[in-house]
Amino acid sequence: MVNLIIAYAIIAIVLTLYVASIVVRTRQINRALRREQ
Amino acid sequence: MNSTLTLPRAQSDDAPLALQVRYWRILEEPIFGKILRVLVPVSLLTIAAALYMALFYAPREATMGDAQRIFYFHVPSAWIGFLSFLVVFVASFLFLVKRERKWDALALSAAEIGVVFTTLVLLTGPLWAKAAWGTYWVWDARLTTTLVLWLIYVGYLMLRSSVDDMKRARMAAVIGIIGFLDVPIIYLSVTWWRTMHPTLLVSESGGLDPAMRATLMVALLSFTLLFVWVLLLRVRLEQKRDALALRRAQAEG
Repeated sequence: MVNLIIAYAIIAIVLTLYVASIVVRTRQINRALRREQ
Repeated sequence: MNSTLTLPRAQSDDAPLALQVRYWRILEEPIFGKILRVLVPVSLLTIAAALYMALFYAPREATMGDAQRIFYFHVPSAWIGFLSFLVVFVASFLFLVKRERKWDALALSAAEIGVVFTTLVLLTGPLWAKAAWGTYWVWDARLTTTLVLWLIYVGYLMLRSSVDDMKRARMAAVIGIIGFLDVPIIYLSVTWWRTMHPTLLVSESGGLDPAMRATLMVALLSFTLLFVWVLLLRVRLEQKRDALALRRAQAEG
């Protein structure tokens, strides 16, 4: 049961952080694009 | 952003890829934003349904107990890893043939997603193995070939993490194509060699339980929807990155 919880937690954390990293990188570039206009 | 700019130096090996920005027209259309917005709740709801089914609907497996439930997200992670590397394979081939940046951007985006999901496979597999085999890792054919696949595409990303130019993109495309050859080897490894990796699960009543199969199918669907959403987000990031590089290049004259 502990291994199951750890496995699901790893999947949730890794996927959340990865999607968040894409969103943050996109926002940074959007800001830079607006500055350069 | 959908520029057809063709600077002479963009054709040379050292030219920044951003000077060749021409993406699919749909990325500029309002429908693209709508698709992204719809995919978020749809994929999250199917993931929630898969999670519920994996924990409460699927029966407890006869020999492995609750640890077997790792399987419902371990297998979809492996499926998305393979699907991502298939996209890398096709996009890399098209990039080498057409020399268009959009195919390179698609390959790079899919490779990153493939590495993330294969990392999940390599992390969740040992947690299941510890409960089932009593050890986290064995140098079994399927485990080893999966680790090799992960290393190949980590190498691909390391190659791409430095300066993006045509020469580097072409080298990465070749790695992306050759690396995919490991996928059918992984798939067939359980039949080619004697391995410990399971190929069939046995429920308490014997055979693959219909509830287990249904749970796996929902989990596969949920991760496939998530993959489509993340891939679109990731390609859009490359597109914006190119737009910024192009704007800076134009400002410098």
